[in-house]
Amino acid sequence: MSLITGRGCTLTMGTLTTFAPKITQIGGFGWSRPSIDTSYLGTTGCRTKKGGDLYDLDPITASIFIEPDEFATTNLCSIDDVLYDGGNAANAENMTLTFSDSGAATMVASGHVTGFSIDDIVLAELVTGSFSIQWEDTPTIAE
Amino acid sequence: MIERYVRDYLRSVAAISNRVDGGANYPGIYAGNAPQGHEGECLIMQGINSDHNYSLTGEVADRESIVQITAYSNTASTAYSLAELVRNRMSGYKGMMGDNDETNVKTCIIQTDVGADIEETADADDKFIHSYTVDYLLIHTTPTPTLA
Repeated sequence: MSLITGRGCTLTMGTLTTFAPKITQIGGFGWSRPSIDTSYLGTTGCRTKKGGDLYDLDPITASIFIEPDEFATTNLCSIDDVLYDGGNAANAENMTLTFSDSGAATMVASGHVTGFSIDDIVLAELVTGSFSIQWEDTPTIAE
Repeated sequence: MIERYVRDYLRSVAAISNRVDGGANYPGIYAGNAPQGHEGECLIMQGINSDHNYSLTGEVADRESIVQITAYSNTASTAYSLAELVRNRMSGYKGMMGDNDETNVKTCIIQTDVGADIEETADADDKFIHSYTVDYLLIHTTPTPTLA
């Protein structure tokens, strides 16, 4: 077991494998489920709890550097391709979060892109943006 | 070494290089410091700092550097006019720099207009050197490490 930094971690698409922008930050993912209160009038001391049946998966957001080449529809890394499929919103595909290390750990599930945005374009700063995805079902966690 | 690329770029501008030309071996536009023996007006550029940018997979090919350019002359007004010649070719510049186009400047803006200064010459002969300093922020390409 070893600790890691973000260096080498990736968020990749299973079908659109060529979409590989320069990612500077991946965040937002997480699992959460409610704790249902099972306390009743006879409960003493603390309230009692029971875990809800289903987790809710949070969306994942990746911050990226925007490169003009990514807007060329002929480019294999085109932003157009990650947003659309034949003019319609892109279909679901496997999306993998990889924690890089000698024994890389992965989380993968079918997911869809939920958003893409470009930050304010200003002088004397690199142009940046972000895209977000939502896993659609329980991710497979593996090492 | 962005200050060297800026130096080379300014040396290529005739309006500037002709004005500060100090004769053979003294082109009048220097990175770091002026060589002993230079006489007359000159420009000195110093690299102040440079920020590198990273993605999760490593360094990216653009960095942000601040280069300080000081114009020296024998009067305040001529130091300022020399600094203005530099501003005319630097502020808003976009393009290649360096004798061999070593770096591609994406943008160049004035970070700080530091302003005028005056100092007495080293031999205390009641002569003064006037200067005008401007810090420029450049975003420009840099080779990415291969780690090999």
